[in-house]
Amino acid sequence: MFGGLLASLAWAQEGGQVLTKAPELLEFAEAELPAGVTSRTASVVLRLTLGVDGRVEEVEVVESGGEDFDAAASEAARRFLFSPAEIDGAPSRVRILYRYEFVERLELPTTAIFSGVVRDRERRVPVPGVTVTLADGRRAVTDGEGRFEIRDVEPGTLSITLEGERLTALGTEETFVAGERLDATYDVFLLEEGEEGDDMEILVSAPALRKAAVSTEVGAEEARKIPGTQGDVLRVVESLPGVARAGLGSGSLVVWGAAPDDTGVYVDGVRVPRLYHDGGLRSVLGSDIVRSVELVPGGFGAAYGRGLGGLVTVKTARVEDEESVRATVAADLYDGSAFVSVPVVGRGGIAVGGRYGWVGPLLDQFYPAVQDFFPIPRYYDVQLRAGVKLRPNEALDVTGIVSGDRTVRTAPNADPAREASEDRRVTFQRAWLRYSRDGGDGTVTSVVVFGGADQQDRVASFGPVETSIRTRQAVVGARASYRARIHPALTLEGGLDSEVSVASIVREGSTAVPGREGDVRAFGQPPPDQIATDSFQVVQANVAPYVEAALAPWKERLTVVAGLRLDPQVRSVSRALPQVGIAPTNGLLVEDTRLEPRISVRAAPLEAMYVMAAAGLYSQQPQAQDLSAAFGNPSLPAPRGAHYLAGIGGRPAKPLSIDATGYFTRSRDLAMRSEREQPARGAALEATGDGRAYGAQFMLRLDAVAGFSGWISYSLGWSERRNTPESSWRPSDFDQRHVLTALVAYDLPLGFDVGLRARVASGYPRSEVQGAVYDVRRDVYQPVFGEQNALRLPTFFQADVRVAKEFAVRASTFEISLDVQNVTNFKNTEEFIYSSDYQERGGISSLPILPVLGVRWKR
Amino acid sequence: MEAMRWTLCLLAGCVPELIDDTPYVDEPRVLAIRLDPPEAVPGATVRASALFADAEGLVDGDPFVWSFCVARKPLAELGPVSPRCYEPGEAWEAMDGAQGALPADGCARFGPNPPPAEAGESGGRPVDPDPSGGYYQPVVASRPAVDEEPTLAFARLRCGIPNVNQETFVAWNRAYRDNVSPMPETLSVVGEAGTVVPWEGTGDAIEVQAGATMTLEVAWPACPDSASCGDGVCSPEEDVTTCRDDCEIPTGCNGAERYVVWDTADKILRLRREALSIAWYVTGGTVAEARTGRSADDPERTSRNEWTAPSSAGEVWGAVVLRDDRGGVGYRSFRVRVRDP
Repeated sequence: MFGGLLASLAWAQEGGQVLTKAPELLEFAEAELPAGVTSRTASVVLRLTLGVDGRVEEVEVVESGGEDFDAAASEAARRFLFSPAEIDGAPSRVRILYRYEFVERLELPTTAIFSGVVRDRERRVPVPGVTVTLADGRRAVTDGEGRFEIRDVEPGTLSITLEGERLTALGTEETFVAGERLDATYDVFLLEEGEEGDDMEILVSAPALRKAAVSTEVGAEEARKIPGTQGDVLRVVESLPGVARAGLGSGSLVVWGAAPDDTGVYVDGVRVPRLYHDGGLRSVLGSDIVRSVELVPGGFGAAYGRGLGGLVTVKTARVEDEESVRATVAADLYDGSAFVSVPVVGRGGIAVGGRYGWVGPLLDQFYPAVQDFFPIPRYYDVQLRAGVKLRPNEALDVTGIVSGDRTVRTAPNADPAREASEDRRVTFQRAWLRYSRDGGDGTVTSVVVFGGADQQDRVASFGPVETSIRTRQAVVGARASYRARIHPALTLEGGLDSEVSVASIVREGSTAVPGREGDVRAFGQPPPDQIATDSFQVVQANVAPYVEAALAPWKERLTVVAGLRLDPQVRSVSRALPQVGIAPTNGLLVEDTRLEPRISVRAAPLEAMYVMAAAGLYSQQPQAQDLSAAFGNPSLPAPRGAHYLAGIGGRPAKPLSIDATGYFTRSRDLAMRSEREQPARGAALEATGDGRAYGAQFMLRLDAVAGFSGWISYSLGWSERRNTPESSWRPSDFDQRHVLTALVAYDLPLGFDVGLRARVASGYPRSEVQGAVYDVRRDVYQPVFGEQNALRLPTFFQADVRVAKEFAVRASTFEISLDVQNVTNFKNTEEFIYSSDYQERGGISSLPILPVLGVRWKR
Repeated sequence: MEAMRWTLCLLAGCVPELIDDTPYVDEPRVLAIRLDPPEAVPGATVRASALFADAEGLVDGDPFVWSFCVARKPLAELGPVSPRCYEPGEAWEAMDGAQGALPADGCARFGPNPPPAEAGESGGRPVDPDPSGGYYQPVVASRPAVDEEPTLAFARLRCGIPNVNQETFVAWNRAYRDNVSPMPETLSVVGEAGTVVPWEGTGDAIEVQAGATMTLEVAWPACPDSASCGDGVCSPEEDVTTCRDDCEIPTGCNGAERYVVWDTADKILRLRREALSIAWYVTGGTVAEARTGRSADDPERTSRNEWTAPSSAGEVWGAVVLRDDRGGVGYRSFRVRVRDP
């Protein structure tokens, strides 16, 4: 492409006439160089004679730029149109000089190139004759070397389909950037002669820019087949490195020794209060709506905050890409679930899913006394999604999720003063509207606006000591981000992460219920019978802008991600001090602003190896319940912390990857129970606690080869706390020294797949009971403890096996699965339990061998 | 039931059955401590007596050193008292034998009165009451010659109620009656036909066959459910102006008394009946339940338990201890002669 410039103007004046209006170029004409001309820059000066109508009548070369350029410029000039020049106010014929510059103008490409190779996964040989089709219909067929190429691909995320002989249609997605070539490798399973195929996930080894220093991401289909999860995709998080084994009935997520409330769980960028239902049997989202889950145990980037622990991000499936109706119905021992997704008008889709846990209601019906002995969880969850594609790379979707849990248990006793009971209900709702746009030139825009509510009710009693906590919280917020590729090696992202919550809490009863980290107590020990009451409101607001720069000056060899998050936190508490009589109380407004820099560096000195390091500052709001003037402290500051990690890893051989990460985290201003004999009013909790966690995690992962896939992960970690700066460090309640998980899955012929998971984990710390004191008033023995958390529950071992078989029936598939938990029937101790006088200690054992049969229909 | 337990084990884990052997007295133990009066103002004198038994039965004498513990319990301590109360030291204030004057600052140290503020800080946090609205002074019974943990008793302090206006305080003060310890009125054996045969006198022993099971029933006095002048009890609704006979010298009841409590949540005064707990102790044989009781809503004034005689002849000593939910304690003992079949 060439352009011309008007360099100068000269005219001829004749006989005392005055130029009263100079001619202006109204229409420019591009010159065309003949083919074969190699030089692209030149300058030609022309003398143009303009008529009274402004048209060019004569062209004369005054300064040559070369024969070819002279001819091209002259031809183009003849097509110029000027406004008529005026001499003495009248249109006149004039001659002007005009410099025609030939300048090469670089035009940025607006499309991408898609190329790659398709290989037989087992034999690693190229597969010719495979048709690779883009969502826009364009296609290419792999050549004799298995290679293909499609040019001029529109930028954005597109669906790709692979079809061929002995190859069932497979689908995946790729993201294309204008001006770049995406070179992908697809390793696929080829069917045996006459074999019917079924859908399966493709493992793609295409280059991607990693944003998190250490993370593990698992696709939904892979996660669903992991033994011990009963097909619940999000339960794979339990088996990832860095995650401690939760106790039976806990369902809490302990990542790198952090308290469960310190780890944030996000679904499409929206924070939700929990990942699992009570008891940890199920996650709060149906598997069919989950696309992938990623765990970042520490060192996450500036886009997320309000958490001292790790980060779990769940991505949901996009219904607007569905091309046909998809439905799933599943049932097993614990619950039943259903899901349906329907495309709408070719540009969108609607999906609805739900799950209902029926163990509790069935036992209520046939064995109503069951809750006298064990807490039986009751749960449900519902998901709705509607999405539409506004343009090929622009989408709008709205999502709603609802989750409910109820756990009831009682311990009857012939003496009503010794009866114990607990009734806990936890529900939450979230809805969000999300807009996303992929500009195709490296710009990505995302805006999520959300709202929701949480309801928690807990009533617990031990004889006459009744404790109740009622929390109602509304939350609204927005997350927006804009990412742009400033340079091929530099991507900038700016965004806003905001959330406002309003909580109303009514709390009565024992000051020691619920328990908290650092409590020294034995299972079954009656709580203190000093009781208090409080009713208060908490408003917390956090609007955090952030910027992040990802610099990759050397393609995948070096990536530096530097981010900065400004985290101002404001909270208002309705009571600064406990109420005295009926006198009105003053509230309290607290403001904390944290500047949180974060950086991660990842270098790949060799193609199959990387090293990385990351560091960052983090903070989080205090728990709303801790801001009670009677039970907590309205003046609690926001706890803060720092993460430091370093790691190494790579692919020693193609299907194998190995990662090793060392970490050190520190947290301060943790809320602890006051150790003063005379605590101040409104200071039942004090921000005197410190925490630290350090250790290493290792993961050896095998991508699918010859039907096998899986991983082995091992974590060695210390999680410590000290109650005050003067105290000694002690193991925290979340310290789990060793965690070893081994997973293997194998795709057998004839639609079978089997899997095995084995876990070995250290027990959680406990404080040893060294004696007991008889309290004659309450007629109970009270334990006398030794050093805090110096004892440990026995080491845990469990092996789970999963066998599944798929049957194709017309357009649908049936799957029957058998998930056998604790296949070796190993007797694990979940908790120590004592006799009434603490002279004898036993252990509450975990589940024995438990086969769970499940059926799943999918269309 | 066993099948269901097994099924439930599959679902939610298994709890071991740790035998509660606290009813069985086979070594010297404190079974109860009674303080007279069971409720008093700081500075008043209280007298302590222990139900102390061993494998042979009641142990005469008072081998204990009695102390008040004046250390306040931190909120981080989830036990009943400060750990400083478990060992002799600065926290112990010795009583004069088995009696002593309650520390004068008890309501500031263990009650609703704010403790003195420390320099530069707002006033200290008062102690929270128990569900009956009570505050307690710890009493420690120890045996220095024996290497064992001390036993804890608690004297209920009459301190008033916090954070109320004068009108409410006056109403509470007028209606509140100091606690009176419950006392077993009768101990009986329930026959097969449901007949109840009282045990006459605490010294009498009854005779049973080895291995036989009998149902024991303890009864306590009936306390008025409403105010009735002349019934001998000064009820919360009465005072010296409305019923001089009952309230000139306020008299309580040795059963499940009614008392007034300040409801801190609803900010009103409520009338409540005491719940009673019964602990059963024996030196031989087995009891079906270690503890029985009646809730505050249950007007029944008896409680039963089954005792199975040992398989060999001998003499068995037993005791029944009543406790109300305001810290009052009362007890009686019994003896059984077991004969060979």
